[in-house]
Amino acid sequence: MFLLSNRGITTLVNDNLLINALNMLSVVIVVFSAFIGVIVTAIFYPSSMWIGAVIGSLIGFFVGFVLTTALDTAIVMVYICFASDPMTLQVRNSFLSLFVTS
Amino acid sequence: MIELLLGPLFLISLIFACFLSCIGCWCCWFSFPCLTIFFGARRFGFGSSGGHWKTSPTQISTSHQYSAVANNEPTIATTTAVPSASSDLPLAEAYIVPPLTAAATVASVDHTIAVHHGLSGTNAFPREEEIKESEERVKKFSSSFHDVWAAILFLVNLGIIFYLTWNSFHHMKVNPEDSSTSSSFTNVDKETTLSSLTTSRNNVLVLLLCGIGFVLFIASAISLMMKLIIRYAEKLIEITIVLNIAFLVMLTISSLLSFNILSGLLFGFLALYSYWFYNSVRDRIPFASAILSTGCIAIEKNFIGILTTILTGSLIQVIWISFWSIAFYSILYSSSVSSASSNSPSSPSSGSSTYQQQHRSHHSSSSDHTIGNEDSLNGDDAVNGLLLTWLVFSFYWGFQVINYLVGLTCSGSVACWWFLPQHPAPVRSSFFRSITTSFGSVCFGSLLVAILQTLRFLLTKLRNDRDQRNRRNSESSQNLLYYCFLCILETLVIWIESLVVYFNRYAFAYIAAYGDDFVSAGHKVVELFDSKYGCLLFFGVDFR
Repeated sequence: MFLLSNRGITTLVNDNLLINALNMLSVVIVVFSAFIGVIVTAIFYPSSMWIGAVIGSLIGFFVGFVLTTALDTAIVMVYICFASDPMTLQVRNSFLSLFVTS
Repeated sequence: MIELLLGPLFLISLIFACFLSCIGCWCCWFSFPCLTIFFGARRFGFGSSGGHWKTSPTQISTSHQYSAVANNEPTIATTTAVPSASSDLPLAEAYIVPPLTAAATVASVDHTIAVHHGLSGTNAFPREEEIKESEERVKKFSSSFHDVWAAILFLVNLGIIFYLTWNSFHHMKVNPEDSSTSSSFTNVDKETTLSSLTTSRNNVLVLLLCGIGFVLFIASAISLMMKLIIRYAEKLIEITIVLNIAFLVMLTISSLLSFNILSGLLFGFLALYSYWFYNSVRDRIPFASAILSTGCIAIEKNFIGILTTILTGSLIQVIWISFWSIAFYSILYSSSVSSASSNSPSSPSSGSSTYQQQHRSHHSSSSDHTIGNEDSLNGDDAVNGLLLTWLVFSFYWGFQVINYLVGLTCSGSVACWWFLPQHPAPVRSSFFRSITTSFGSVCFGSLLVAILQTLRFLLTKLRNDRDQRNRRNSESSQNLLYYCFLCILETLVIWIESLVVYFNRYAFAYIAAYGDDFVSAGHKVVELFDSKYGCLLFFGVDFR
C-alpha cells in the first residue's frame, strides 16, 4: 500500500495536519467561549464584562484541552491500529470505506 | 470577589449546557446539508471525485473483500488475503482482555479471532480449545508486569517526598520558633476564621451547582464538537491550512508596509512554504480526516468513561501540584532553617524568614564570615541546590505519570473498541491495565521526559543567572562564549525532549494495544518510522 509503504512520512504529515487542526479548533473554542461569556455578562452583569470574557475563555480553554487530549490519544491509537490491521479501519468506520473502496 | 466570580460562572455554564444540549442535534443534522452545499463538498457526490487517497490495485482488491456494515457489526465476505501486519492482532486481543473478565469475554474474543481468520459462525473452533487458547494468551500477555524497576523507583521517590513533607511539618510543629508562619497562622483570630467558614458553607450549594453546570457544559460542548468533527473533518483540516497561509500573508504585508524587510521576507518565505506544503499534502487530507473522524467515533463509543478519565486526571494533577507546592516549601524551608541554625547559632532565623530570604542573608553576609564558614555555606547551597533539583525532577515525574496514565487509559479504550468492539467495560479494563501491568512502562517513559525537563529547567536557570551577571558586569568574550554554549545546549535539550515526547505518544499507543514493555514499544515505533525518513523525522518533529 502506498500509505503503509511510506508510513514514516505518512505519520509525520498526518500528525502535522491533525495537530494543527486540533490547535486551531481549540483557539476557535476559546474565542467563541469568551464571546459568549461577554454576551452573557453584558446581559446580567453589564458592569463586569471582562469577568465574563475571562471566565468564558478559561472554560473554552478547558474544553479545548479535554478535546485535544482525548483526540490526540485517539488519533495516534487509530493510526497504530491502522498500521497493524488496515482492513479493520473500513469495518469500524463505514464512512471511510467510501473513500477506500472507490 | 468569589461571589462576583461565581455568579457569571454559574450562569455561563448553565446557559451553555442548555443551549448546546438543545441545539446540538439540530446543528448537526439540519445545518449539515446547507454547509455541504455551501462548501461544495465533493465527498457526497456533489462534486468531482477528487480527494480520494491513493490506493494501489492490491489494496483495492483486498478492500473489496470486506464490507462495512452499520452498527459496527463486522461481517466478512469470503476472504483469504489477510495483511501480514495483522499477525499482531491476537497479541492485542489477548492483552486487552483483562484477567478478571477473561471468562466473561471469551466468546467475544473468539468471535473476533474467527473474524480475523476469515471464518464465520460460532462453531469455528471447538469450545475447549477456545478456552485453553484464550487462557494461555491471557497468562502470557496479561499477567506480565513490565518495567517493574521503574514503578518501584517511582513509588520509592513518592514515599520519600511524603516522608520528608511529613517530617518537615512535624519539625515545624515541634519548633514553634522556627515556624513563625504557622504560629502566626494560629494567632489569627479564631472567631473570624469560624465566621468565614460558616459563610463559605452557604456557598457550597452554589459551588455544587456550578460544578454540575460546568461538567454538563464540558460534556455537551465536547459531544457537539465530536459530531461536527466527524462531519467536517476534511473541511476543518483544509480551513486550518488556508487560515495558516492567510495569516502568514497578512504578516508579510504588514511587515513590508512597516519597512521591516527582513521579517517580511521571512514571513513571505514561510507563506510560500505553507502553500507548497498544502499542494503537496492535499491528497493526504482525506486519509487524515478519516483517521480524525474514526478517532472521534472511537471516543464517542466510550464517551462518558473517557471524559471521566480526563476530568479525574486533571483533578489529580491539580492535587499533585498543590501537594508538591506544600512539599517544596516545607522541605526547603526546614532544610534552610536547619542549615542556618547549624551555621550561625548566635543569630537564629528571624520570624518572617523564608527560603529566599535565608539565601539572601547567606549571600549578603558571606563577606563577614570566615573562610570556614564560607565553605560550609557553599556546602549548604549545594545541598539546597540538589534538593531543589530533586524536587523539580519529582514534580515533572509525577506530573508526567498522571498525564501518561490518562493517555494510556484513553488509548486502551480506543484499542479495545478497535479489536474487541463488544467488550463490556473498555475504559475500566484499560485503566486497570494502566495501573497494573503497564504502570512500570508509564513510569519508565515519564522518567525519560522528566529527566530532560529537569535538565532544561537547570539550563534555563543557569542561563538566566549568567544573563543577570552579564548585565551587572562588563561582558567578556569568555562569558559570551559560555552564554552561547548554554543557549545551544538548551536548544538541543528542548529538541531531544520534543523528540522523546513525540516518540512516547506512539510507544504508549503500542503499550496500550499490545501490552509491550517500553523498550519493545520503542523498537516498534522505530519500525513504524522506517529508516528512510529517520532524518526527516528528526527535523520534522520540531516543525510539527
